[in-house]
Amino acid sequence: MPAPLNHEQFMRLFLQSERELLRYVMALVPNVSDARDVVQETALALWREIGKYDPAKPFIPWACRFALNEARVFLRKESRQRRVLQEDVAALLEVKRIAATAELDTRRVYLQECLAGLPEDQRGLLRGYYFDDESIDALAARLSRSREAVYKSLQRIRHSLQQCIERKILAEA
Amino acid sequence: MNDTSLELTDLIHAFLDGRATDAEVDRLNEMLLADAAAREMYMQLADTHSCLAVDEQLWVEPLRESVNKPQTREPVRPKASMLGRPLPAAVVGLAVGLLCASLAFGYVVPLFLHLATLLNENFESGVPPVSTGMPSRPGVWSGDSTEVVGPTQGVTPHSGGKMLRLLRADYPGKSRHEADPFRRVSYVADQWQLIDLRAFKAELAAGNVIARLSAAVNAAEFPEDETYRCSFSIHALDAETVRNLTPDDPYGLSDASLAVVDATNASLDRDPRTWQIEGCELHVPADASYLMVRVGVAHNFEQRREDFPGHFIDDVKLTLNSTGIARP
Repeated sequence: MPAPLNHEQFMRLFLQSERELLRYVMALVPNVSDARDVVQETALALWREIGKYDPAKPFIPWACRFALNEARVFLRKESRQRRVLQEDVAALLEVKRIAATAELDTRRVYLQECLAGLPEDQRGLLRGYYFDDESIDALAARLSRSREAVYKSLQRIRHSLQQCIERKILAEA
Repeated sequence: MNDTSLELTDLIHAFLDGRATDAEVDRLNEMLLADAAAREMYMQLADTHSCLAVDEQLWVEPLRESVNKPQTREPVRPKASMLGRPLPAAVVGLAVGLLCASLAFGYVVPLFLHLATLLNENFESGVPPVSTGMPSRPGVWSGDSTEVVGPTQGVTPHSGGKMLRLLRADYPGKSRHEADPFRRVSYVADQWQLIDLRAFKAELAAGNVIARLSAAVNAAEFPEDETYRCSFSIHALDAETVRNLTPDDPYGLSDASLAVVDATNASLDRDPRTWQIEGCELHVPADASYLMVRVGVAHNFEQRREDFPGHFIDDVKLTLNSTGIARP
């Protein structure tokens, strides 16, 4: 077994992998802030066990196991107070998530293409909601529209994005 | 799409959005437990949700290095691709050395915590900026001559119904500095805003705060032999400097700044249908009380023109972010 990673090597790997870990975690813990807490705990867990990591093997799959474990801990802790996925559902989704990694990566490429093809106003709405953390209320105020109208637009845009991705997958097939 | 599939899609989105009721979450759990196809659907929608929320590469182009090296006291960094939390204390110590090494290589650790959005301007209010040069008080756009317009010259706003049109590289009454040939004429049409940072003293004291300025920039179709570049800057200032600001002396401002980044780099394309997202970033010194931010477009120097026939800015955004790592 090769020598364990030093601090700097670990940090490099972790920082390079963090977005992917967040993506994994958000399948089970969709709230971004909660998911970041989970990834933060994952960093600690990974560092505690770094001696067991084989640098000859890919880091992300190894790290994802820790991330999913931390996500399970989060779900267990929050299940009494909040609306979260049941643990047995989460376990089934984990299996699905691992099996679908390549497929989801392909979908992500198509997502980028489909996103680029959206009209500017639709892309702006999606960006505001997802990436800029604007609430529906804030978007409604900014766009001078009702909350319901904004949410309906969001639903329509998400639907057309999904359809666009499906079309590209079919075309490739 | 059948009724069950529609119900499932709605439930998944409601859950991912955090809007689902207890009954809806129970129903979703039930459907996911019972049906592999439902789990597949969930996984696809959840992955799209997370990519849209955290994958910066989906939304912005990487920033380019500044070509204006002499005025760059802080490195112009590539757009970070990650938004994150500060690392746990047990891991933070590890990161400091890496950050130093990374800066030496011109690469920066892509780990950020969003602290605050200081500016989010889409010009939808229709209020035009003041055309009196650099502002001396926070919260107003001021600079060269501009107007707020709707769709025009084949350009539609990046978001909403309005955008800022840059008209000239000067403003009525601008001092010409006749004695100094380098200051006599400007070929950059820009807008400035002063941002009060004093509410963030505690965050700044940690020494790990980054200000990130971005804007959407576009131009009506222009002749092939003309070149225009996006021009951005962030100046970190102390209170004394702000008290003595003069409206037409950006060079003096740079000299008096605690830190400054000036990025005049990305060329504008000639397609009015495409907006370019450009910007710059600055490590904010702990003793900064204000930021002066600037967004604009520069003529190629050889063009020697002060008018701008069709150049637009929209969705200017300034955020404060923490690396979660104390700077040495």
